[in-house]
Amino acid sequence: MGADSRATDPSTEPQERSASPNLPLVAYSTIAFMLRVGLVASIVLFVGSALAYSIVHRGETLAAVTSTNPIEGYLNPLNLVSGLATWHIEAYMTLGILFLLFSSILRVGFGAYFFFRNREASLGELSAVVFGLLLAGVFVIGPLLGTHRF
Amino acid sequence: MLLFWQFVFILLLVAVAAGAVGSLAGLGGGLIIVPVLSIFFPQIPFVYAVGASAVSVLATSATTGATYVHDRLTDLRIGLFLMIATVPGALVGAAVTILLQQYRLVPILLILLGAILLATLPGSLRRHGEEVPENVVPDARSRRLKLHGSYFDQFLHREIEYHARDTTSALGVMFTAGLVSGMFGIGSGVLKVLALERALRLPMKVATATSNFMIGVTVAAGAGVLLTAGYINPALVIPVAIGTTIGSYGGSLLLPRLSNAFVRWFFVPVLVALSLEVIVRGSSALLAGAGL
Repeated sequence: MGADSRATDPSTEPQERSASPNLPLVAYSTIAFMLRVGLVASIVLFVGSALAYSIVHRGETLAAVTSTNPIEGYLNPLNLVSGLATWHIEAYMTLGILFLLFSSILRVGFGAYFFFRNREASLGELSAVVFGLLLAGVFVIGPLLGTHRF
Repeated sequence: MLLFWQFVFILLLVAVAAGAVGSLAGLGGGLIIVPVLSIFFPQIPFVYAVGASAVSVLATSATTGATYVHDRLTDLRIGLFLMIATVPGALVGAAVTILLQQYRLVPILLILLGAILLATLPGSLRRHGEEVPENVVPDARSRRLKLHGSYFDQFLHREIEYHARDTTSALGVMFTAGLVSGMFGIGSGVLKVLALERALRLPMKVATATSNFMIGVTVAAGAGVLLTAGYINPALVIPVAIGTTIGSYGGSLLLPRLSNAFVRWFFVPVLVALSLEVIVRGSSALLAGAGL
């Protein structure tokens, strides 16, 4: 942050500055790019699948639709791929949610990578622990809690 | 009997209104949408409302977050360091909400939500952040992890350097922010900005951008748990996410045209009424022994 803009600011003398620990520019541009891709992909999938789902289920009552979770079967990777291949609307809804979720989670993974690459082991390890916790939430804690239904 | 397409249309309009109100009041759409869904759509299980809110917060935070990161206003170093507190908080919070729903103790969640909405309101309406904090002495952890940085302030036309202090207090506030975020699928931006501005003493712009970056990840922690536990229903999530994003954007366009006095005198009573309504509903259900 700021390293490049500082270079373009002629009023600031080099000897007045302290060493900035900002990550390299590529770290910021990679994370921003990933967030934008995730957002655009999820919005496209959300709008398309929501329209299709509303048309297909237009005659159903609210109670009928909310009594089950239409994407539950697609949380398994094999079912998701199979659903996408056979043009199931629910599989595309799931994919939209996964894009949004993982573009947020992966920014921490990229953060860890850039800290290690910048030879900053302490912050790299902290970020890797956070990344591990996020994955544990998705792959361990959620499935464990989901086994007990109300 | 409401048909599904009618419900989607109504939900979309409600989400647009909630997103606009949340944006105008400086609370974000998430803190409004959960009580609104609980009051106007009582047939929707509370945990599904939390899941819908979490996904809508993910969408809105990604919209602005990408710009802040690209412009390097976000301090990735401080943001990632503080996530060591917010992410565990969010995982615990999401687990607590799921368990309270499974044990039919939703009234407790409603009372807590109303209390949090009331407690957050004054902080969101008053900004205490300093443009450039002076005389900040970093603590030992801050020096060891190099929790300092700089950015070029386009308003002040100069390079601003900053250092973080009191990281222990900030981690404590951040764990609480994560807990609240996971429990209700909200960003807890007010608490995060409080920790960044008051405890760490970061400049206001860096605090706002870093808070936004952290909101996305914290909410993703809770949303991940809710998704694989089976409590994110796209039939609710998609209209809410689209509606809240449109409403928040509309609110941000409308805000400069409204006076602070209008915001204070029009929205504050609406939000106070919303908070009291969920508290009353939660208390009544608790007294009647209903599980919701």
